[in-house]
Amino acid sequence: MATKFGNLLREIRHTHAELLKDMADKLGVSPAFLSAVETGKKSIPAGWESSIAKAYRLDAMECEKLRTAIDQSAKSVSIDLAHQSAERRGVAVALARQFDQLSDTQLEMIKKSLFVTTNRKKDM
Amino acid sequence: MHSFKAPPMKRADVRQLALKLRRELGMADRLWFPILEFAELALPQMDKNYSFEVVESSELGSSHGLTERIDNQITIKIRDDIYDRAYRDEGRDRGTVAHEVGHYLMHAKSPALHRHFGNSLRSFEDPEWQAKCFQGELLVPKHLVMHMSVSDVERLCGVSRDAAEYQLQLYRAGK
Repeated sequence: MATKFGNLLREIRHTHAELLKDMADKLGVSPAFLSAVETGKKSIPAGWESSIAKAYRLDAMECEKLRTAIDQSAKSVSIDLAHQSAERRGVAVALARQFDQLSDTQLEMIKKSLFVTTNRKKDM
Repeated sequence: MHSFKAPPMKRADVRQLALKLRRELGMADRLWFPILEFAELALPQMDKNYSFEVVESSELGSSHGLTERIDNQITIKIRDDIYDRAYRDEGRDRGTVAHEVGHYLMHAKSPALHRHFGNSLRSFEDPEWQAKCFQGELLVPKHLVMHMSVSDVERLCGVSRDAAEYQLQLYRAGK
């Protein structure tokens, strides 16, 4: 079963009449690796969003679709902690450690503080 | 030990199936069947529950390919080295892909495969024989090759020399 990202890559190949090997060559990986990313067996490598956008000359709308698919299919998220203050590092590490244990209320609070603009619109 | 028994399909039935597929794709009169494009690009458009994967040998081991059905999802998996050679139009490896397409069409969608104990299967009930037969019939269409040489069949149909010889012998023996 392909992830959303996998399905999008298959759509792109179909549009360009390309096989796995053709796309894998453009991304500098093997067809087996690309296939494993499409089914979620392997993580989506960093930098693929821009490599794909560039290789297939995606327009703004297609790029947005690609970003959404990557967000929905990613198996892990990494946060670059270099050059971050001790306080920020602490928050990131605590969030990663306790993510599974967050209650619905805590999750809601985090969401509200992160997506405050969305909530404002809803309140109007 | 047991094997799986499929609903009976003789060579003539398998040939009809291969020809029907070629007709539906508008390829009844073409020697070269683009098997990889069909398995990778065309089939997913025809069946939303189908997908094609290339897998490392660590996953498939000594198998060259596999057609797998989980619930209603059917996947053809081709080993990476076989895929690379099929992409480079190697006859033997194109044959492997066609073989799995045969399993997809004749067996994966059918719930009728059942375990068979005891005596060896009759060939026309053996899914492996049926898939092997399908790969030959699809890639070497009888109605186009009767007067061709082995070398021409090998080159123009994109099959191994062995496969070209085998199909021509069969056809010339009236099978």
